[in-house]
Amino acid sequence: MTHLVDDAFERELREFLEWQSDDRRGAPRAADIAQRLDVGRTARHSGTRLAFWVAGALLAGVVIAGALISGGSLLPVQHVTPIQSSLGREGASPGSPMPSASNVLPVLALTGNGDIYVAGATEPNPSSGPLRVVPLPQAITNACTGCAAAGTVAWSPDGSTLAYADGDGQLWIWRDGDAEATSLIACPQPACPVSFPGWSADGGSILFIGGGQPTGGRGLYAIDLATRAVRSIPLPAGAVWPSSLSMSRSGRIAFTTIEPPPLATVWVANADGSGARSVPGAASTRLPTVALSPDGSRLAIVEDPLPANATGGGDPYEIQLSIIGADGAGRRVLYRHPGCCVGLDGFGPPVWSPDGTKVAIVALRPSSGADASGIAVLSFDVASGDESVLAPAQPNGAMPAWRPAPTASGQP
Amino acid sequence: LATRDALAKAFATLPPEQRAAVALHLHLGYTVQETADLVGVPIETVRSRLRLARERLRRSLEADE
Repeated sequence: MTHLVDDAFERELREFLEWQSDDRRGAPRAADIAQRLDVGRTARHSGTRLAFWVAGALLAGVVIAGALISGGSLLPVQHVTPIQSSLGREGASPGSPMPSASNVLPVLALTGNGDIYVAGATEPNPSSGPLRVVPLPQAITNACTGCAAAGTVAWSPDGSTLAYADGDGQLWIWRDGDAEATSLIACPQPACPVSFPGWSADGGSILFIGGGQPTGGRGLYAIDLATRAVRSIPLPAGAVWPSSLSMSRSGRIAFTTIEPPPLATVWVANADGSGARSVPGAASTRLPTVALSPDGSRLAIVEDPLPANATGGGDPYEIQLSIIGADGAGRRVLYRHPGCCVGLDGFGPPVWSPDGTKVAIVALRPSSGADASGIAVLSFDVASGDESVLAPAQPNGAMPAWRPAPTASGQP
Repeated sequence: LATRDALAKAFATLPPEQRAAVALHLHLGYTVQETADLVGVPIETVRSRLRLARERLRRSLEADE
């Protein structure tokens, strides 16, 4: 976490920015923003809508910049240094085999400070208290030499394989028990940077948000695990710039796109992008993250309920979890915490339990103050709203991924 | 503390992507994650841009003194 808010220098900078904005000395020029967003390339797909959004952003005084990573082709699959590994065993240390004692039965994968952790109950007492968290070996977490930290993670439908996007926007998979992680998408290439990976219902492909660089448009993509072929998934007419994506076992997907104010629209669609419709009542002035329930009937939405500039910039902010029908009906709030949070960067995506009865997020315990010690993976019973601490969270942790329970045969 | 003119001068020297990160996060109040979503880069990239912007502004202001 960049602790900007507590620093006198940044307070001065913020005051300067307010002053600059008041005097319109720093008003961004449309040409600048279009150039930074590389509108010329994106416009091949949806330039009019993007230009409209840019205009809306201008009205709000928003300055946008796109990343400037050079393009290239899909690189060959990469393998990392082989190690001995078995998921969820305690005592993992970088580059060394994990001890076989004290097995942890993995329930979650989660990220924190760029590392990947698994959380589970320790045998033989699997049901008491918060889950125990253990790190994956750094040889897996930081599989790419010198790349930035791990970001978002997702379990395959059979619970055997973890997909994750690293901090450089590259996509990796690691199969439990394998000695090495495998690179699926190495950057730069048009589908970079990758975020929000999610598995198709049959486990044969991984959908993700990617692009946005000079070499390609920001959009939804899928990579076929057998062929490694990457294809674009069409967005609804006029929609651009997806910012959150969730898969469900039903074969439906949910995602958000950034639009002219009120800024974000929530969509539900088939996994191939067909049949998309916006969810009424879910539009937001912030950028929510969404998760579609396993049966595709409900959405969990995490967002800041306050206007973006309500707190004067930077931290703190508020975080709210609500449940809404996929048809937009019956929205109700399960959790809201004021004054978030040193140690959290935003509102991490919610995740449904495999049986669809609970939703987990990384957030502050309701009774805690706005400090890192209160951050945990919280689980909410969707029917009753009851909250419990599922596992300790790591600093700067974002996305928990709930592992589908394997059967006795090892398959779901 | 830095004068506004000195800050304006230093701010103008920031690369566009760092300026955008500072403006979106510090000025407009988007979280680091939202800022990452808005510009389409990983969150670590935004953290890095904010850190580099702060260091660069400090250096610019110190050089002006």
